[in-house]
Amino acid sequence: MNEQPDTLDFKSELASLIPHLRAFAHSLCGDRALADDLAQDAMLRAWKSRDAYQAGTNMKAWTFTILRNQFYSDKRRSWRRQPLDPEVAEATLVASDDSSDAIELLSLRNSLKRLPDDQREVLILVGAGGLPYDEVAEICGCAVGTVKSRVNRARAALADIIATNETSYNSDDAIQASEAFEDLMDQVDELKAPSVV
Amino acid sequence: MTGRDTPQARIGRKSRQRHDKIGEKLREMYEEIASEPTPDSFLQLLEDADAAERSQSGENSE
Repeated sequence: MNEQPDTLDFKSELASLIPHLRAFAHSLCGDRALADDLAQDAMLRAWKSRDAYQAGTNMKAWTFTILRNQFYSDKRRSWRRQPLDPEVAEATLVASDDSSDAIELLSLRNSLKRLPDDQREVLILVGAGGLPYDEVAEICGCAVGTVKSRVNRARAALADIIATNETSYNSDDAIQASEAFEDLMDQVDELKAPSVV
Repeated sequence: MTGRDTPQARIGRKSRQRHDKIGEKLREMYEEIASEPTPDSFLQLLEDADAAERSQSGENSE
């Protein structure tokens, strides 16, 4: 195999996608070390399969497809079996200077884990990654209309889960977490309200 | 103005806020990682894979 210009281009484009592979993997797994393992495997798999990549097509969507398929085939889902631990939430609250923000992200990650796989992946790709519907349809191997309806269902389900989490924080220690979340939401509301005419 | 205070309006407003908030947090979650500099370990792995392939194909052709 020669070192063709195509190979160099492929390598540098693949390298430029690493931050996105990491972000996608992290959003899917919710575990930093596991996510980097997954992102590295996907990167190497993409490298080895580069002959199958058609130059000029969307490499980001192509690598995301590889990562996504690997995530499911490897069944790297031990995180799903980890129960939601209120002590972790509390520890984060105490440890962080910007506690309300940390709690919100933790709450979001925990809530994402409880969505069905097909809803979680489209919400991450559309809502977090900002990918267009047609690319997400290609990555997930389904129709554009299916992506749209899954995103809507995922948003509604996530809002429900978060709302339920807030009201079910009943221990004295953890109650601060839901209060912090509500406070921040109220602040956002106040900031936004005057601009809406 | 008075419509704002009906329970339905409040629930609707609260629900929209949650959706906005969720969208904002989802992007923040993704960007938090995507904006980090690429770890050297990733680049090194890619270089190693490339080098390993080239030395292998070099041996084969000789």
